[in-house]
Amino acid sequence: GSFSDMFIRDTINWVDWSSPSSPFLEPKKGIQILAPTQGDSFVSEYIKIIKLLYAIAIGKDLDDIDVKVKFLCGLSPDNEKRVNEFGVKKPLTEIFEYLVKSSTDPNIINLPELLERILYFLAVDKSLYPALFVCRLWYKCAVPSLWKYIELKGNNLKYSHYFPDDYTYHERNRTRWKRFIKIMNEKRKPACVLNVTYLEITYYHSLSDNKIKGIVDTFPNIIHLDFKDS
Amino acid sequence: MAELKKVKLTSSEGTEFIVDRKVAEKSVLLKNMLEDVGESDMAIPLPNVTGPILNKVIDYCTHHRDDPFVNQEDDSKKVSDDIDDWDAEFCKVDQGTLFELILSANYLDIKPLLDLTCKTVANMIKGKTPDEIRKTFNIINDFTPEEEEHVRKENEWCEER
Repeated sequence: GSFSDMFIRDTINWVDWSSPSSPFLEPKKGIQILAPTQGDSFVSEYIKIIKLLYAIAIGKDLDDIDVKVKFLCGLSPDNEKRVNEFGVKKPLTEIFEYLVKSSTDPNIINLPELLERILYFLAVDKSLYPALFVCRLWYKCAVPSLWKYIELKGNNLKYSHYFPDDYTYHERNRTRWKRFIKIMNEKRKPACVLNVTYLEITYYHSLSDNKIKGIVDTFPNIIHLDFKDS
Repeated sequence: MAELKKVKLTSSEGTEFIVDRKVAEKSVLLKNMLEDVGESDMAIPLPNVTGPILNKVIDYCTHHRDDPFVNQEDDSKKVSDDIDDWDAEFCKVDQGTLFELILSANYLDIKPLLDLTCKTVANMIKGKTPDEIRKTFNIINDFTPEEEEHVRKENEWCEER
């Protein structure tokens, strides 16, 4: 980004001032060299600055503890957390490698609007469940899509004898159905019921009118309801 | 009449790109800008898009220049496995680039590119456990055990096994 370009330019200018006539490797004594910080720049660019400008400017290599300490102090908080998990005692080159490899620099995964867009495609494919457990933000972004469109299909007795292989599929759906009803019968219903706009509960053959009414009352924002053969 | 016109764009570093107006208009943002500005030789600055990313975006828009314009908020069911070969090849980039493409597609308002790149990320998530997802995207789990249990209790009915 433009900020980091500016940052690099500034750093270059500033290194030039610090040793105007001598090569970088022989810094002048008595000039205090300020360590850079990551600021808003990408971690890969910050590493470049440390490696190619700062370490050289202070005349030390990457094994030097001073370079490492300055590098760690200048890191953004989330990267600092990452390094702590990875291990601060590891050599700086390994830390660099880890940060670059693991960095998702412009991290869209932290932008709710875009994360929701991504998770939407998983909702369609019914593979959203594991995403709920990734972290709080993912849960917040995934749960509305998960509850928006609910399909619980029981056994379609009319056709089941043609497709005996479907038995396990229906059994699994029975279990899902029972769990769903269990949650709906709890006193404190999940806040997610507000998200439900589409509910299809078909082929249960055992739903009383009262139960259906109870279900309908639970979801104030429902738009589409289907209780075929239930 | 303006069909064959060229448009100048500058990336964040100031690199100039010259593209057909038709290609640039794949971006709703640019389309609106061009309509507002009318005939002009002024370059349009795109301070949020770097040169390499803008290059990729232009590649995409050029390849898809003749695609029909799709309705913006089409709420029909979208699936993530309908990516054609050219698009799949286009998305074979590192994660950082893919994320920058998403940000640029979002900023420039190029819906098909945004869908494509988001689908690609969705496909990276599919089939993974929560822990594998965290490793892939370098996410820290900030749930307490109690919260995690709560999530499990409320949502286990929809678990696909």
